[in-house]
Amino acid sequence: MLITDPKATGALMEAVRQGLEADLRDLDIEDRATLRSYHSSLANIALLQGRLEDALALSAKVKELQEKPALKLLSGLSLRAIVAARRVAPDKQAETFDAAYRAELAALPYEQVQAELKASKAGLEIVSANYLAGSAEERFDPAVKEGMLPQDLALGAIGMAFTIREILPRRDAMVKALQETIDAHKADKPDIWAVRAVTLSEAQHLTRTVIAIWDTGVDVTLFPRRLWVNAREVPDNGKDDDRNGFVDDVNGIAWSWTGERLAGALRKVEIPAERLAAAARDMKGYTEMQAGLDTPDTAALKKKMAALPKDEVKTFVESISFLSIYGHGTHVAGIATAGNPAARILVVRAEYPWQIIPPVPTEEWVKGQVEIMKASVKYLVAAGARVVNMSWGFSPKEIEGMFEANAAGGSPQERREIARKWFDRISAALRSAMAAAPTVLFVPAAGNANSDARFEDFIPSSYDLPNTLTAGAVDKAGDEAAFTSYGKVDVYANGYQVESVIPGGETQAWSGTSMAAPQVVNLAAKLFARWPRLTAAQVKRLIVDGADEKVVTGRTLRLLNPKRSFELAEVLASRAAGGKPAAAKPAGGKGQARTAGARPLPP
Amino acid sequence: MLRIVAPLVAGLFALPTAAQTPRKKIDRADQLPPRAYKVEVSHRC
Repeated sequence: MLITDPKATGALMEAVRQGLEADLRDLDIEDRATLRSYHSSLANIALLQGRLEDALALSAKVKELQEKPALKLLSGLSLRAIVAARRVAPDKQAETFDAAYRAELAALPYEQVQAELKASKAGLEIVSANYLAGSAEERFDPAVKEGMLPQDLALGAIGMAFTIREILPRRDAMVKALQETIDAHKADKPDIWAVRAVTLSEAQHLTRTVIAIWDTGVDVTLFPRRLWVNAREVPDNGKDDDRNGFVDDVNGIAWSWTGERLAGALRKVEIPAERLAAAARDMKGYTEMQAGLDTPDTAALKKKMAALPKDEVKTFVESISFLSIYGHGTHVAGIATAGNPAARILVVRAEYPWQIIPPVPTEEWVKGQVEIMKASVKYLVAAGARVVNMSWGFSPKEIEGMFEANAAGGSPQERREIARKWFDRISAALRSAMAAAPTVLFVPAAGNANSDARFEDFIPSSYDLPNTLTAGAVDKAGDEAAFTSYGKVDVYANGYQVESVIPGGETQAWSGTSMAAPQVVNLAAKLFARWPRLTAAQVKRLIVDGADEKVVTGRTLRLLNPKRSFELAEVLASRAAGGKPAAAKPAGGKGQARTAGARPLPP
Repeated sequence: MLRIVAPLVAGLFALPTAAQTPRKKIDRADQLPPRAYKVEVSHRC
């Protein structure tokens, strides 16, 4: 078994070390995420190979490359404690590790790292050798059978081997130390969002605003009075009554993975109902663990993971994967429409694979994706959508990864080339469709890879069009989320532990830039509802100009501020009406108004 | 059991060193070499 056999991992580590060192020596790589990944893998390899000084030096380099304050503070913490332990006699190692690890934790400014410490503890509590071995078998088997392990998979395998050999033996000590650190600091982070929130009511003069939720489907039964309805279509009669090319598109349209037209706003449940219910419990337990809570669901998940046999890992992982996809669009829709009685959800549902090994991409798949991009934009424009939530994205790497996972697509170079060619075709279709719809505001999620979306060519978040507004994720205190990608982020919004509904109506707190984008959509839709004559470009400007600027290690982040954007819109509306510029004031409720006036917006 | 034989990357060891030739600038993720590592499966365990 690749990740547990020291001989196999030893040879792999040495080969990977040579490959990564060659790239660092011969190439001029500026991208910090790539450099972090390479140096981090090299540090782990050095430690596993017993080169302790090299491990410390490489780990220090990773720390230097970190830009997010919390990640910089935490970078290399465990590795340094392990190195300290390795330097003493075997019978003193456990004690030395514990002391070094606790000293590292004690030196941290807790308020800056508390979310990450809680998330680390959650990760440690659910990981097991069986879980890693079962995941590795599923993920790597096709590539291993072909005799070639692509670099991304190889780095994953080395990371798993590192966890099994260096982290799991120390896990109990780490969890205990983390728990004591968390217990010693009861103060939670402040919530900055409540005072910035804007809630609309039926009593206000509002215009119905169509919000396209381009996602994995929506449980429309949860939003009975907030749906876009195609009055020319008879529900569930299996016919295309309005002859627009879509059958039964009452609340929107749906696509299969390969671009076939489907009906139904919510995906069919493709796993047994009891597995879906168990996945919902597990997901809830995990999110509660991330939040540092101790509940019946967290206890049940810990117990389950500790006893999970290797051959049940696939079922477990794929059940969670199905739930994440199945529930995603509904969760997004709940955030996008909260506090807005004028919101009308238009569903654009796209199906995604949920299996560990996805299907091999084909020419038919590319054609299907091109069709999805073009026809979806055309449809939502015709339906009068003002704003589109796009909590999804991909890069050439995802297409390459689907080939790699299946050991298909020819040589690594051939995979790379076909992935780029097919990516370009799909991207061109989407980009031109979006550019041709200037009246619609598109809001992509930045991505969850802690990487530069432009370097990765991650789309649509890296598009720089006048009518796109990319959302990054911060937490409830406005601190950058560890996972949020960057590069081309227009505005940051709360994307960590965000409460919303999943199909069936249960509320769960999910995290991701997927949850940040609908916060931005929510504001855009409220601005359109209140001032329907605003253009997409104006709304974008109101959102960006209304945002609070926060300087973090030399970078300026803009944090969404709905109240302030509403104030700016009031000023703009007053000017447009020919009146004197109105003084900036809160749009409603109590709040902190700033006094600066709005800058003129383009017509 | 798996045995890793060698890194299988076109031109990996033939690349000139930084002192001899300007380093190739990488502006985009897919300009990085598409590396894969050969694994030889004698028998699985």
